[in-house]
Amino acid sequence: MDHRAIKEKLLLYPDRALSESELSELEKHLGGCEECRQQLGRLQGLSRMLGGSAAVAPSETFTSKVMERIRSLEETPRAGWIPVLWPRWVMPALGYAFAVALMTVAIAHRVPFETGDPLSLAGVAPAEAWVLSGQAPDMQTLVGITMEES
Amino acid sequence: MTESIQHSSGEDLDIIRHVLEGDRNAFALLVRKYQDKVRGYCTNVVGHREAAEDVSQEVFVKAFRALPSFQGRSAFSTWLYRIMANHCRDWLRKKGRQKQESWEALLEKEGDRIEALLSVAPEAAVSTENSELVAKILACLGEKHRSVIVLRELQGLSYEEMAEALETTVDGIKARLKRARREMEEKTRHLFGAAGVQSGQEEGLWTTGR
Repeated sequence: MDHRAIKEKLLLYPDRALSESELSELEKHLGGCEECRQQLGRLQGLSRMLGGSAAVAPSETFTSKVMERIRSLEETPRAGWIPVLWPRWVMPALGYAFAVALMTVAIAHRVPFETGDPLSLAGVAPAEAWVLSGQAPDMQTLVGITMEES
Repeated sequence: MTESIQHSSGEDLDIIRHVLEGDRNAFALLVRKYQDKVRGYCTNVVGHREAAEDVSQEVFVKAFRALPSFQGRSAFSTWLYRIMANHCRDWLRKKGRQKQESWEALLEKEGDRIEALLSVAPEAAVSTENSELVAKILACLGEKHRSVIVLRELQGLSYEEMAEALETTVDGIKARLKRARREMEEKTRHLFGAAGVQSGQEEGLWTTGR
């Protein structure tokens, strides 16, 4: 094992779960590697600190409070509780199915898009359009009106 | 209760049978038996002493409600630890927006105490104040790292038990433990100083204690 591999192994050393051969290699390497010795010292220090941490005692009434909560659960049904009779995916699946059905109906009943003369599509007879353009004043009339106003 | 329940301890199985047959008060025996472990884990993972009491109670309530689904493929304790780990993780996610004290801020306030704690023998370090300090140090780790460190170092679970509790593989646990220890070691490296390493040398630490 090289230095890098030893450093990895050291991280599991506090668990005493390394094999005999791994431990032999470790000892051999540690004898000549100050950096790994320092790391092992730090890891063991951390392990000692954590392992020595005092157990956190629950409150004296812990058990009675748990049992009280269990009793209250049994006595009063949860507010807003609705029996779930189908799996969770059913409602979203129904939603998607409804959306697809709605799109199918819309596509089946859509008004076909007509192509052609925009005027005829708008309901304007072509002849009437020509009549309108024929009634438009010519340029001379327009200039005359402008001159009079000024 | 089925015949498949064979891996759990006989005592736990007897209690579970009584509970499922209608003697709900028998569940109190399981609560008393495992409350220290559950409370210890919740305190160190949740990080808030007061909230941990409530979270621990919720773990047992959840376990009670899920008891009919207990198949006995693993020990009751492992099954309970899985509920505990999941509940604490969910609680932390819900409270995710709450500001945690950063490692730098903790160092500034408690650096001397942490340094002292790292250099004393474990029996001398055992006190409520020191346990609170350890909980604060752990709170600076990510939830995944914190949970493996607490289960291994404070609760003494095996890799296999941890893998079941955290719903992963033994290799996954080893990898997570390595990352967690590396993070802790890097954070506290400068706090050990020469004194800590020397004391290790005197103890002959790198003969690996075999």
